[in-house]
Formats: sequence, structure tokens, C-alpha cells
Amino acid sequence: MNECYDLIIVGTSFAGSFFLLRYLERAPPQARVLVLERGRVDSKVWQLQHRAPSSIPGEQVYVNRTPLKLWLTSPGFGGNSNCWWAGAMRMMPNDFKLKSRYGVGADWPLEYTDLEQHYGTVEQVMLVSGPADVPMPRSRPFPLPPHRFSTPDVLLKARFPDSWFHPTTARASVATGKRGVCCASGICELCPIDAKFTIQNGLAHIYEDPRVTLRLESPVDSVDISAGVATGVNYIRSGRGERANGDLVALAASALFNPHIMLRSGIHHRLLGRRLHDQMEVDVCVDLHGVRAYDGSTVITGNGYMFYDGEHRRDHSACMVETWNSPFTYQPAALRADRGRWNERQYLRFIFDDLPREDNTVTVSASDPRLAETTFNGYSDYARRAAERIPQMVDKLALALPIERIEGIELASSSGHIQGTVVMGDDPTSSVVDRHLVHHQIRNLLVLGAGAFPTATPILPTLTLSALSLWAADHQLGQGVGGGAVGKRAR
Amino acid sequence: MMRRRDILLAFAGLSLTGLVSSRLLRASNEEGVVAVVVKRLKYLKLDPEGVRNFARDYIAGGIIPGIKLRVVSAAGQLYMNLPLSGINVLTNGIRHGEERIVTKYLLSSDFFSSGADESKTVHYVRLFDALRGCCNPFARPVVETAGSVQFAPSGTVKEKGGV
Repeated sequence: MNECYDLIIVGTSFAGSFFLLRYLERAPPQARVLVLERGRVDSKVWQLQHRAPSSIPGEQVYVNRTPLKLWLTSPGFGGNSNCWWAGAMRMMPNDFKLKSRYGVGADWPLEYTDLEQHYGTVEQVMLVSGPADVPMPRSRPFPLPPHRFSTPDVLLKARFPDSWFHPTTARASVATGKRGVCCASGICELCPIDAKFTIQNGLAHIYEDPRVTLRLESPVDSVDISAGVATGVNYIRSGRGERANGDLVALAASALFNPHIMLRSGIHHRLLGRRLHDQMEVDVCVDLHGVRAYDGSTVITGNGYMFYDGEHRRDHSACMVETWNSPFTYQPAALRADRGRWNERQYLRFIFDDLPREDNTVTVSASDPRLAETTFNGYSDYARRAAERIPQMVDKLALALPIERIEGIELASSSGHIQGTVVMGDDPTSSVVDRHLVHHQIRNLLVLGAGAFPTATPILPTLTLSALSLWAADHQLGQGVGGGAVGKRAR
Repeated sequence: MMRRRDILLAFAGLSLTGLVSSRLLRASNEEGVVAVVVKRLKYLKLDPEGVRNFARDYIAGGIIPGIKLRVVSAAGQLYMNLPLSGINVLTNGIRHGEERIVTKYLLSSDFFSSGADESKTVHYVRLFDALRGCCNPFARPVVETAGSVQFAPSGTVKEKGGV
């Protein structure tokens, strides 16, 4: 006999967990929720022992037709929260209206003010650290104080007081009673002291709720659709096919696997699985004269917004700059071998937003339909035009830093932020889901996560996709109380 | 005349090839690592046995392709006297490789924990591993006196529920 649930969630990473968090706050006591997770619980101890964030390697879950472009994924309980580097910043208000403000890309179907309260809630759950003077409008202070600047950050802040800020991050800046205090080990994907927020250390308790049934090692094959309604989910358990019925289905398996499941379910749209993108990141290493770096309190100690918003976005991408504070994370950030000048070096990362290209795709692998398949044909010219300006950007930073020489410039292979494959919007012809992440035609199917992003921004996506899950849950719960999908069985 | 010159040239070429091959065959990865450390940190007092132990552990970690290190080792004095001050693709590549090794060595030694005192002999302690936690010698905490929460493993979640 098939099992019946009010809600089925696929995936236990940020998108699914924040949706579940809000759902459980409002759902009735008799509500039944099934959560399906492809992987196991790879505990922190397991991760450290095996020097890997997941027991399932990426190549077991997707085929990469363009291997030079990596897509990082960490299947298992907590998903990519296990391997993320805990950058937790809000998008800028103008990021939501790139088209109407600058005539390029697309507008989001919602605005900054729609997410402001949700941003604050996610920051509280993650215990985000940040300063009082960030450029994004805020209605409440950060839960944790800002991290310590490195010496180069102090100089940059003095020269660019309105453009240089402490990072906003879920790497703990002070003792929290739950997590270690970040000490800039520079190996965040396996954080050896558990200083960053993860689902395992911060939201595991919601899976202990008696209304929740968690099924591990249960990869989802497809969603059953009948007469425009999602009726259930097909998944594999112990090598056998299983089916669960659900009144509401929420896919939260990432921008790689949500479109894969949808395509295997017979759901089609011109843009489904297209527009695969992340930010374009360029690493620049500069040698300094007489200024010692790496003395801040976390792995990234500063964010620069002097190249971010403005009329230049009509022609080329916005750019956010990061100062990295670890001498051993990446090859160009190594110590200098010169006498007494070991840390007179700064490793900078320039992050550009990319305009999604429709020829960058996730599809169903023809050789093995259980696997997603990615193809990446390159970044947009919009992003490339911006990256060509890096020498001028470095010249501007040199107004604050005594830069001796540029030691290296290198395009990063991945920012690890997978976005855009299930785009949201108000128009069903140009978007797959609506502003509340509900499929335009299948009204009890939600598709959560950064796949919904109409455009990338230089801002790292995790805080926004988590806030979007709260926003989507609020919408469902509002409907549910008055007669919508949520809680229909329970009532 | 031409034939004799060709034979001599061929002989010289073969000899040079043989010499290079012979040196490459006899060269070792560990000697390459030692050469890099000694060359780039010649201003420090290094414990020779510690440097050799570091080289052994470093090679065992398989961090850098062996052929590059064998070339360094085979080049001998030529490498030790090679100036790398010019900035081009070749010198940048060699310098980055050297700096990775030097970084690993310094972080694996007692140099920074002894206050980066150049008058003291530097001893190899154990191969640096960032996974041991809080081993960035330059980082300073937000609150100097704040104690870090004792690391407690998470991941106690168990599958639960049922039909």
C-alpha cells in the first residue's frame, strides 16, 4: 500500500530544510511529512576521517560533458551545507531589477523588501556574523559581531570607507555554545572545528519532529503527475522502487537535480534545465610591500563593493571583491619565500555576475537516465567584458594597498553555486515557476533553491535561496490555513 | 668531410641525451624537494635531517608531480644558481611551485611557533595538515581571550519514522 503524506520534500540541504522549518512552525500536529534524501548521514567525524564531505562522489550522480567547468555537489544529509564556505550575504536591492534598472538580463518577480524579514530569520538561524554598516538595508542587527579585518582590510576600509566591509558569514566569529569559533584554517569544506553553520549542526532537530519521516539513501526517480496535479513521488529504497502519495511536493535537490527529476517526470518547458550558471570568479594574487596579510580571524576577511552597483551594469557585470586570509588554501596564496616577507602577499577574488546562457544545460543522460548531465559552453560576454577590467580594478585597490606586483591571475573553475535551471517569473512562457516557486501549471509542485534565480549576482546565493524557501512556505501556509494545499490531509 | 661532422654531431647528441637520461634516472623526488627548500630558505638555519624527513613525508603525500622534482634534482647546481627574478610564464610557474613547497615546509616546522626567529635552527615537526584545525600561524581571533567551543562531533541524526 502506498504511503500518504501532506508534504513530500526531496532533499535535506538549505532549500528543503528552511522550507521544512517554517512548515513545522505552522502545520497542525497531525500533519505528515516525508523527507527523501539520496545520501546517508556523513557525520563530521566521518567527513574528517575520510577527508571528504560526502560518501557519494559527484561522478556517481551526474555526468559532466565539460569537465573543465566543475559543479560542486555534496550528496547526503545536509547536502551542500556540508561543503559550503558559509558566505551568507544578502543580495543588493538593485540585483532584483537588473532589466528595469539597467536594461540587461531579467527582473526578479519579487523585490528586496519581500525578502527582508526572511533574510533576517535565516541570519538568526545560521548565527551570521556581520558589521553594522553593510550596504544592504536591514531591520535588525546581525546575531554575531563582525570578524576581525586583516591588515590589508584595515587599509582598504580607510581608503574606501563606504565600499569596504567585514564579510557577512555563517562562520562563527565568537563562541555560540553550538559551534567552534572560526580560526581561518582555510579548509571550510571540511571545517575541522565545526565553526560554520550546517544543517547537521544547526537544523538537524527539525528532522526529529514526530510529524517528520526521514528516509535516507532514497534517491528520487520522478514525480507522478495526473491531470496537472502532482500525486506522489517515486523513489528507490534498498534497491526496490517505492512510491509515496503526497498532497504537496517540494523538490529541493539543487539546480542540478531538480530539473533532472522534472524532466524524468515528463515535465517540459522551453527553459527547464537551461540557463545553468554560476558566478564567474577570477583569482588575483598580489605581492605587497611592507604590509603583512593573513592576520584576520576568518578565511575571507573583507568584501569590496566599489565595482558593484552603478550604470556600468548596462555594459558589463557587477563585481564583488573578497580578501582571502589563508596562505595555504590555494596555490597562488602560498607564502612568499623571501626573507622576512612570508605574508606580504594578498590573495583577492573578483566575483562577477553572469547573464545566463540557454546553451548551458542540465539534461537526462542518454546512457544512464538515472544521472543528470551538464554542458557548459562558457560565460556570457557581459561577464567577460567586466573581467577584462581587472587590471584597472587592481590599480584602484593599489590606492589603498602597496602592491608590488601582480603575481598571478587565474580563472577559477567553479564558484560552486549552481543556479538558474528552473527559472521563476510571472510569465509562464518565460519561466517555469512563479514568484512563490510554484510550478505554473502543476500548482501543488514547488521547486525550491537557486535554480529559480532569474539572474546570478556577485552575491553568494545561499542566504537568498534559504530566504526564498521561507517566503515560499509562508505562501503555502497562508493558502493552507484558508483552504490551500498544505494541511489538506491533516484537516 | 660532411659525413665525419654528422657522425660527430650525432655522437655528441647521443652523449648529451644519455647524460640527461642518466641524471634523470638517478635523480629522486626527495632530492628535488630538498633542493627547493635549501635554495629558497638559504637565509635560515635548517636542520638537514629534518628537511630530508619533510621531503620524504611530502613525497609520500603525492602533492606534486614527481617528474618536475626529478628535473630539479637532476639539474643540480644549475638549478641552485638559476635566478628566477624575471617575471614570465616559466619563472612564475617555477616560483609558484617552489613557494608551495616552502610554505608547506615552514608550516610543518617550528619556525612560526618559535616566533619566526631567523637566528634559531628550524626543525621539522610533522607534515602540515590544515584538517588538524586552527593552524594558521598568522590568524588572530575577534576576541583574543575568547575560548573556542570544544569541538563536539555532530551527525547524530538517524533515519527515523516509518509507515
